[in-house]
Amino acid sequence: MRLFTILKLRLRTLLKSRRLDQELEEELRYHIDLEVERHVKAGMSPLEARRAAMLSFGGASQIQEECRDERRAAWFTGIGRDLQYALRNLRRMPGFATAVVVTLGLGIGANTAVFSIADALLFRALPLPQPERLFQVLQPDGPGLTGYGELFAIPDFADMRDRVAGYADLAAQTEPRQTMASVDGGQEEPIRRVAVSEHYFAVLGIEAAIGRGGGTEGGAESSQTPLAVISYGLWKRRFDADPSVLGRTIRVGKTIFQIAGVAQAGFAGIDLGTPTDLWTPLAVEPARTRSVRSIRIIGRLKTSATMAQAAAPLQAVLHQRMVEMVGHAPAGSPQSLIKRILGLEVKLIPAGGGISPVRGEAGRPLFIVFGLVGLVLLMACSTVGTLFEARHSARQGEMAVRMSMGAGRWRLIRQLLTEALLLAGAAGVVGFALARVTRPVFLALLTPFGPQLELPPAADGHLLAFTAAIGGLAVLLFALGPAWRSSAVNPAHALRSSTRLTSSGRVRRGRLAVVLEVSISMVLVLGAGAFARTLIHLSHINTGFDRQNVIVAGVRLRSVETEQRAARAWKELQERVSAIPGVESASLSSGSPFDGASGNGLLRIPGVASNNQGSLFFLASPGFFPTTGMRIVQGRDFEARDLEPGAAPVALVSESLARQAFSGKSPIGRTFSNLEDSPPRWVTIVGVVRNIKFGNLRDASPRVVYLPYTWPKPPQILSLVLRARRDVASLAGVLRREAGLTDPDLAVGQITSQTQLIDESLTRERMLASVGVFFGGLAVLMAVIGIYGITSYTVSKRTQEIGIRMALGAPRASVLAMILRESAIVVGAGAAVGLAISQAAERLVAALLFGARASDPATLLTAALFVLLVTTLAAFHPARRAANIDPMMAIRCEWGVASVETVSPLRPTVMGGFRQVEALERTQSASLPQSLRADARIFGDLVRHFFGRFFDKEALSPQGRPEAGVFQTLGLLIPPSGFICLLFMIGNPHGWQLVGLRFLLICYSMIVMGVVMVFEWEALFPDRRDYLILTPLPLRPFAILAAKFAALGIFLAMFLGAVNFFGVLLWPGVEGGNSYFQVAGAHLAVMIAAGLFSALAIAALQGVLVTVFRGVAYRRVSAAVQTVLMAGLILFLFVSPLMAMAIPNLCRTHSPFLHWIPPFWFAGLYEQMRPVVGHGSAQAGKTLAGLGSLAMRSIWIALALFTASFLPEYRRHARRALEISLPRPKGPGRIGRALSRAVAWLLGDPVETGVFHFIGQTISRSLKHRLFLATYAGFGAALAVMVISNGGGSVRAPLALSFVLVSGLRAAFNFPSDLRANWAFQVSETHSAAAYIRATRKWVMFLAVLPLFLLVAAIEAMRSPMPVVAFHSAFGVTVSMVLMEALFLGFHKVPFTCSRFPGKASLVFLSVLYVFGFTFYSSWMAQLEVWLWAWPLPAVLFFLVCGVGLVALWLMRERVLPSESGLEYEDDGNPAVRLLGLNE
Amino acid sequence: MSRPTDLVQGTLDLLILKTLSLGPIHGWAVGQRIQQISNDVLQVQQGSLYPALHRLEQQGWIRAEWGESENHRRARFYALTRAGQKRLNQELQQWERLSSAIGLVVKAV
Repeated sequence: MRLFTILKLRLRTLLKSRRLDQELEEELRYHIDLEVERHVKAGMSPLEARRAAMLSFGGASQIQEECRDERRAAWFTGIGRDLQYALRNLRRMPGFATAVVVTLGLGIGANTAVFSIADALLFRALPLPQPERLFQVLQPDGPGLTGYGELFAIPDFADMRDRVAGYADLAAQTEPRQTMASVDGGQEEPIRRVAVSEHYFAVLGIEAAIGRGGGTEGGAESSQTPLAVISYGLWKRRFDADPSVLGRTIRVGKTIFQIAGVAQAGFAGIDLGTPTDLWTPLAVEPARTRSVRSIRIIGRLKTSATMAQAAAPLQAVLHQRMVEMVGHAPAGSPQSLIKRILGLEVKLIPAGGGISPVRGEAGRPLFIVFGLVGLVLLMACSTVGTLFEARHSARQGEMAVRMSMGAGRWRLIRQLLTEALLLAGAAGVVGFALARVTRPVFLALLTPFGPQLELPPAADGHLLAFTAAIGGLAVLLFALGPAWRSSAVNPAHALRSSTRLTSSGRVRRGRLAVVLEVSISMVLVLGAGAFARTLIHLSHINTGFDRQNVIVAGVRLRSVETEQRAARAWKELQERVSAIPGVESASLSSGSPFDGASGNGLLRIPGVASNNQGSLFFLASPGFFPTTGMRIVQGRDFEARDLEPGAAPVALVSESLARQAFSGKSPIGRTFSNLEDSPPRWVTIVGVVRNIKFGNLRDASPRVVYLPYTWPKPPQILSLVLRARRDVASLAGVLRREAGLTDPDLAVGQITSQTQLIDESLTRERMLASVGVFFGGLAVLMAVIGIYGITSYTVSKRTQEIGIRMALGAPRASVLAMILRESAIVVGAGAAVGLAISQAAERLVAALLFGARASDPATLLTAALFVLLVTTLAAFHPARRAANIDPMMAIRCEWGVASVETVSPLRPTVMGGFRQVEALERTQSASLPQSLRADARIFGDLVRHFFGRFFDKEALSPQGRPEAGVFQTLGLLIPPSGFICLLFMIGNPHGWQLVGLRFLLICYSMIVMGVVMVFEWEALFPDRRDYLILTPLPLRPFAILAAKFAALGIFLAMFLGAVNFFGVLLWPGVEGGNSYFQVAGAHLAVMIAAGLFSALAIAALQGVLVTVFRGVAYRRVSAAVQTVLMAGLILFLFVSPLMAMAIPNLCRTHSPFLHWIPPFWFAGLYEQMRPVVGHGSAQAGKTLAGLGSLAMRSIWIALALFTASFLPEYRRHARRALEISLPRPKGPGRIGRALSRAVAWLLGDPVETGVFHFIGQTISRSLKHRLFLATYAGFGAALAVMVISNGGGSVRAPLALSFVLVSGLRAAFNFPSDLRANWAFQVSETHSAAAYIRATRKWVMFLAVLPLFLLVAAIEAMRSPMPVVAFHSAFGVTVSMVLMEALFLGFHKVPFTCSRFPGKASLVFLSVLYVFGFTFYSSWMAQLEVWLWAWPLPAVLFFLVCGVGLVALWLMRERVLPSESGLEYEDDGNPAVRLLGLNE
Repeated sequence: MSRPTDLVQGTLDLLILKTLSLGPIHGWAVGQRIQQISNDVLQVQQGSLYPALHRLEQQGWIRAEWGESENHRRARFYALTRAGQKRLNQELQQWERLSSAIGLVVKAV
């Protein structure tokens, strides 16, 4: 009640502030009036009374302001402060925030993506008037007439339409079909066509954009050309929205249609997912009988009618049909059946939302996918909830303090929820973006059988609402509970006691969440395993023929004048193709068993009662069976004489037919005929063929009748089936040429290999397996995060307890075991629940499995072991931490906040040092084995120390927590690589595409390793910090080297693993074929080799440098090389897609390029190593595979170089670095001094000069800034390469470069510099903001932009006339200045003077800026320049406006800024500096 | 401008709530009544009265409505809400505890 009142008041404050102000004024006036009255009553004069009243009241406007403050304070500032506080809090823990946003974002994204599909499929009405009145008619269909079907026979439609006329208008249409059509007699192109009945457009209410919407009516009766209507989309796409399209013609097959109209915009047929391009009259379709069901019936209810009324007459038609059917029923049919048939009913379903196979009964995939993503969201919420709990527990002290200072419980909850909402909001944004990208993935999942759905994009409003709703739901799920519980602190209690006393409930809840997570991940992993095994089973199944080296080509005979000619053409084709070199044999058939082309029919066999089992009719030529490797088990193959006209008709049958129809007796010599033939044409069986799989690997082998292809007459379409030792691509040209030579009317269509056809039939299985693996991996990842979180939390809670245990003598091992045991119990419970659920859920997916079950012992064991292993590993680290607790510290630690930082094993300094000294003491007095053990322990500590140091980088983990760095870095690497891999799966690439993609993965591995090595460049050498370790301990430099390399090795392996994790899992799925582990193994081996090579090569380069150069020269050269390498790697990163695309060309031309670029070698190595399974290897070309040896050789060379140069130099260098005191830095030389004098003279102002120098010095001296700018330079170079290779020419490149330069500097200026310089500027903080800004601007202008354009001008001057160069340069400089002003708008500080990394937010902003800047800025500006060059007046105007604007801006800043006191810092820097009070 | 710190903020709230518990009155009368009842010992600074009233209103303890005053002018009347009644009881208890504690201390010394 009170909450409601408050809410009302707040709303009033928000909406009616002016009225409230008036009321307040009135209230105060009233008060004063009363006061005056009182004084008057007491005897004062009115004037005096008023004066006294005003005096006692005080300042009225001040009171008003205070009242207003009270109103506002409760509302705005409260929220504002909450937000601010939340933001600050989250910024302090970027690791936590990133984990939450990524986890939730994944959950929300997946749900939003699926919703966007459901929205388009289920919730949106067709763009037609009164869609709710539309319905579709269904009739009983399917086996045993138990289901409903949507197809009717044309005569039924006519009957129904007449009967129902009083209640509804009916229309009919065929299913949309992809056909080839030619416009105005041009090239044939694919088009989706629907044949529709009369009044179709009128019934649906479709308007015409132009022409007649109802144009398809009545075209057929008259002899004129039939009319057709095209869709708006086709009109735009194919006819460029040409208004004079009416009257043009479209030929489909032999029929020519005249376009009579274009349908309204936005309408693409009523079939969702398969947009219709062309509507043609049903009347021109070949006449159909009652037995052929080919049309759907759609209707629109009349205004007053109901569905039930319309159903009655339709039912009557169906009933009549059923009565007829029962009349034809064979004698002796059971009465119950007849009764059931007569009782069947039609069904009317609403069709206002369109028709889709995904709806209704076939909609199960949608719900499975919805269930899956729902689970993912649930897991995300549970994981995040655990993280929140753990985090809140760390804040108990803070809560207690706030509460004891007067904050209410609601206030705390509001604060906590604000944080959660903020995170959920960010996750929502991530999810929304993710949903757009992943939509195709889910769309493909929904229609695994047919072609991909083409759905219109979902309405943004709906999506946003859904994302918001689901984000809110997530907040409720994950944040409300923790916030409610955390706010229930008793301040006195919490402040007094250590937190270990208050946490048992929390731990229990955390464990429950982990049980949930583990069980879900168990279900998903089991599912993934079952799907993967299904895939493996199916690809290993015996098809009954030899699929290797068989190539299938579709051939069409365009016109058949005489049968003789056709027969001759086919025969000649077979002979000619057989003679092609490399072709072992060639044959003709009605298709390959896996391209789905075959006829179907019933057989009439004398002496055998017909059972209603159909047989496939398959045409084949002599030689077909040996070519495909199908075995004839009895009788003979076709022979040439069987093809002669007039020869006795013969056939071969499959074993299954022989067994079933002839009950095992030899069928040879028996005859049969097609049941539909009257009079029967008898065919003699001459042989029996072994069973094969047909079209679908899952089904049992069907009954097949093989007939000579000339029977009953030579067909128009056949397939050439070849056995050849050549690949598809190399055969295509030859086949086409031979066909053309045989007969000009023969056209060769698609050419594929048999293996590819079989692989394509497994698309759905591969998709399911990979999606299962993806979701399973995701779930396991979340479970790992959850377990890690809860175990760390438990450990931090129990620090004291464990400390006491250890002090009482518990060995480390037992503590370790205790923690691990606890987590194992939780995980075991989760796994058991997961097993139970998966057994129950197995039925749901049973239809999708083959030869595998979730309850397979093998699958079960593997999944259980996998989950247990991974989750135990997740618990291991916190458990180790528990075991490493120092008893004394733990017991002394009073607040119980001896959390992560103080007990981390990665923290080497304090504890490690103690332990080392302790170990040393022991070594001196102990026996040999013990000292060895101690050495091993020291070594382990050293490795851990170096490993921690890799992550002890500002850029990686601002708060200096190594494990946050590890998780952050891996988290950044794994999802993108997983995503790329998943996209590969969707693209389902073949041939060169496949090689290119693999090349890309290899490149990325090498680049990541290279970048890591360059980043760790210094770590390859002993540095001063190592000295600190060496001094107290008598370690040899080589121990340090070995420890460093071990740490580096682990570090590199981690990165390599992260990049290739999903690749190794999913890649075999892309490759297809049948050897999952071989492909995975080859992938892994090549990635490791490639990564090893790049790491070794860079280390060897270091070695060479240190051997060749000495002292200062070495330092300079090494820094330069490092910078160049960084830029080069980034350039390579961006150029590698271009290189991947160029592979086929390079291989074809045997380009020398291939021999010079390492990734090609490793791509070649892969081609050598991969198991030969089919199409891919044949196409990859011998050229590439030939490079494989180079790869191995390169690794050896790099290793040799490394050993020869690096190792001997190391000791010398180490001694120099460690033993000789640091050289004193020399002051600037003569040139340097002259330069600074010049700069000082030019700039005048001393502060400005200082800033100017500071920028230059930081950029040239600081490694961090150098690497950062090198990265940008890499971007820039890549951009230039792309722009130039796209033919963008010289106009765009300089503009793009200036963009990179200016924005790069803007970003680099944000990086903190050396702390001392930072302080210097803070301390000298005076009123010189204007000088700082001036200096920054001038630096960018004179030392970056102008030199760039001078260089460009110098290059251009060699080939362009002077005016062009001048104009180009002037334009570039002007635009760059404008850009600089725009980018540096909010930059009110000395560059490099924030003492902190700028944070992820600005990084994201910068990358967004980059993407858009790259894409649009340079091309727009280039267009502008071209335009201005052509128009002098606007050009002058442009320069004038820019010039005046820039000068005005400059002057304005000069006027405004001097009055601005001090500078903005992104944070306060070191507060101690401010406390010094140096400013005053 | 100096402002007498006779009344601690929390105490003012208590006084206002208590006054309003006797029935709805307008702002001026609140001050007058506190003064009256306390026999002119407690003088509410008029300047701090209105911010306090608005704060209490924003908290939902009291509710304000426009009505007609005894001299037939439009005035803003404040009344205690049910939540305010509860709040008043809480504050009274605290006050009692505090005053008795202070009393004890003062007497002891």
